[in-house]
Amino acid sequence: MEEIIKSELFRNALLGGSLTAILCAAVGYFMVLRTLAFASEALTDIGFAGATGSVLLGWNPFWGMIGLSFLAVVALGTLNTNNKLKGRDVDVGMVLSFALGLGVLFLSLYAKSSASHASSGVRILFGSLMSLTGPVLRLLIIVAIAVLLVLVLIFRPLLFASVDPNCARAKGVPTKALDYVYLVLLAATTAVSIQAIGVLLAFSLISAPAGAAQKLTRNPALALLVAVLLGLGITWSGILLSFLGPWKKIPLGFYITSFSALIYGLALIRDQLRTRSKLEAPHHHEREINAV
Amino acid sequence: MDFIALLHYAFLQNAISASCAVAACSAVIGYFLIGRGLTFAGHALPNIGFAGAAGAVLLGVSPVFGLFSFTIGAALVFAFLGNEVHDRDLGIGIVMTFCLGLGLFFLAFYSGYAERVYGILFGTILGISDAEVRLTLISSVITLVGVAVIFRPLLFSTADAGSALARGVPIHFVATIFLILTAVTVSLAVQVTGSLLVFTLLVGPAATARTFSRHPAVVVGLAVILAEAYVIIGIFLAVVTKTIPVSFFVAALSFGAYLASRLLQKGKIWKR
Repeated sequence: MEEIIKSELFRNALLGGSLTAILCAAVGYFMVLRTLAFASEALTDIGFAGATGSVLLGWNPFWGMIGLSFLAVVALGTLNTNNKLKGRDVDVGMVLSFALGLGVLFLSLYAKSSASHASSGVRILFGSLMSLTGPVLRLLIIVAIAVLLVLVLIFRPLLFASVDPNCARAKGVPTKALDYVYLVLLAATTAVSIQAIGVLLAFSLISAPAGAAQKLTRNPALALLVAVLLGLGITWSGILLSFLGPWKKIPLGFYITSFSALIYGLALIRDQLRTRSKLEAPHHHEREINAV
Repeated sequence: MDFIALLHYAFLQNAISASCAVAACSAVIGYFLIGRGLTFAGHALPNIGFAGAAGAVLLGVSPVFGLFSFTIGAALVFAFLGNEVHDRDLGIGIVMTFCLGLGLFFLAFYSGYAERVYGILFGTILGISDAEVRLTLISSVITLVGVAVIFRPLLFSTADAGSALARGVPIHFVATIFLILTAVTVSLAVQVTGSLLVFTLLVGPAATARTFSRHPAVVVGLAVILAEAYVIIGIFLAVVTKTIPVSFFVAALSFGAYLASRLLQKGKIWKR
């Protein structure tokens, strides 16, 4: 067991996993506030298309992902001029379906051009935290620091614009610019997370910890902290179980996605119970007044 | 090489009849998906179906059973998640990733050649069998009849859920039936066209049709025509080019048409 803990693979996985968990939880917090679940899922899939495209061209996958994600952000921003939720849904869907089509095209061309088959595409889809290498880790560290720094700098206006965009605009906050900046941060986060942990886990870590945290508390700073802690907890238990657990065959992705679903489900149930008891409370109060 | 001569091949006849049936169902279902703001569910269901198929392959049964049971189960969960966009979308996303994780779990234990499973992800329309075509045609007819039966209450509750509820329309029941019909359509379509193409056919034609008219019957009709055109042109181009898959052409056509229709719409608003 000690050998595993001392191995570079384990240390890389733990470091990379922790960094991604923190980054995803922080960026995911605003994703949940802005109801961008579908857009962020779309960005991870668009990243998939970018990654397969760069594999085909022999580039570093990161640049393909970043390039295509930025294009998608611009397309979404241009198509969606009035920021209405309903229209946005369709625009995201159309951009996503086109990107998926591109992904399929690249993958089929790649499978034709080399013997390594579609399995490399599946690897991008399902992640490779167990085999994280030095260069990817370095890239992850740089992007994580940059994104978190920008997030800290724009934290207050971004929070204001996310919670109440109309009020923020009236107060002179540049909401449109913030929309773009946030989408770019989200795109960078998904691109780097896909490389570190795969499309599937990236979305899982962006959505579940932040979603659960916002069910547990309404205080922004506390929710952010809870999201980061939940993300770290999910990732660490997943890594520990898959490296040291008794069932070697069970993939890391399964642990992380099921823990995420479990935590979000529990937070949802707790929230439901609390709102129900709150709804009942006023009645008691009324009755007391009547009795008096 | 002309298209008429190609039509004599049995595999092409199969591909075209199955995908025309799937396209019609998808366009009709897609119209309501967009109206109800459920586009994300349309993306999640095929992926969930993929997990079900992986499970079925592991158990040694036909992927169809896995597809149907997982998508219908997920549809029921989505119906339970309710109508508030904020929570619902997040819930859909988390259910979807959980199912994909489950699919990964099944694949890890499957020692055989996983090509059947990958085929479900990327589609094998040009290689479907006569039996699959028959199954697709029958289920498509059932789906279309189902939508026709609940058409009026479904339209009413999609356009204005509050009024529909006040008028005594059982909106939760209608919503659940609709999600189950969506799940059936998705399962069918995944079988023939791959989970990636389903979503394109669900959202693309209906979204484009909606920019031209507000009348429900006109939009649904136009969406069906567009969807049929996409798949037929897509199949034809894929056969001619040989290397490029049908899914790409359908996705590109549907995105291009949508972009053009949006630009046209913007031009109209400008003139006014």
